[in-house]
Amino acid sequence: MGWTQIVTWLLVILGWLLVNHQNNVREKRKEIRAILDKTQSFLDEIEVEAIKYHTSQESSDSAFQLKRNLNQKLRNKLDILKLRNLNVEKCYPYLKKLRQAVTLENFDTSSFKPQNLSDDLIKNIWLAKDKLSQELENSFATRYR
Amino acid sequence: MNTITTTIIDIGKDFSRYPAGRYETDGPFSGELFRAKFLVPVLDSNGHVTIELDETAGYGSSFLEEAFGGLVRLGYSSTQIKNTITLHSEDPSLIEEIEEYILDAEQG
Repeated sequence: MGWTQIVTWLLVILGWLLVNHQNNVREKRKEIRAILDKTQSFLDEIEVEAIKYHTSQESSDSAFQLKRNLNQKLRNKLDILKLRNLNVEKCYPYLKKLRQAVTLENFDTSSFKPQNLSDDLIKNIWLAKDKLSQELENSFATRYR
Repeated sequence: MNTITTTIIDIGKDFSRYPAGRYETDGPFSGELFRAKFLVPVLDSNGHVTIELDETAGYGSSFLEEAFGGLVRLGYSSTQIKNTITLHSEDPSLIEEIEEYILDAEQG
């Protein structure tokens, strides 16, 4: 086999490696995007559930579900993104702020008071959720800009 | 020679898997009760405790604020609390939140 044939084969192999690498990167990006989209939908659910809880006429049983969602379930979703090498460290303070917005005041309490949509407690939930949601997008944009 | 005994308190196993509420009037497993039953005795005995946070079904911030921030309102300093209580959780946001309540309570 002459040197020209060797060079040809090397180019073929290098080309294949490059295309394969690009495909893997694209697939991984799609996979992370899908997990992120599910996390965003989950945040939407938490927001709806939290507003419903605080605007109800009486304290409801959904406090348990809210705590479960704002602790393990949301954390698990961030952990999965972390395992896929997405840097979500900056999201944890926003997770804390969302948990505080929902569960620090008027929560799990015998002196529950129904809130109006214009009350600060409700506005704080919306803002905290938006900030966590935005930080998740920032993490993705930083990795795949 | 004084020896400091370290105990481990697993909230999910030793207190409740479902901690909830700020005051005892809010429910049977409130932050106020947890503080009185587990944290205050350790601080008063100059012992040391490691609190395992991960075995519960989740926390409301009101529980955490009353249990830990409430210690400052009872007269314990943040330094004393820090030296006595070690927090353990896989969730960094939970530890950060508790530390925030202790500092906030001290700053009034």
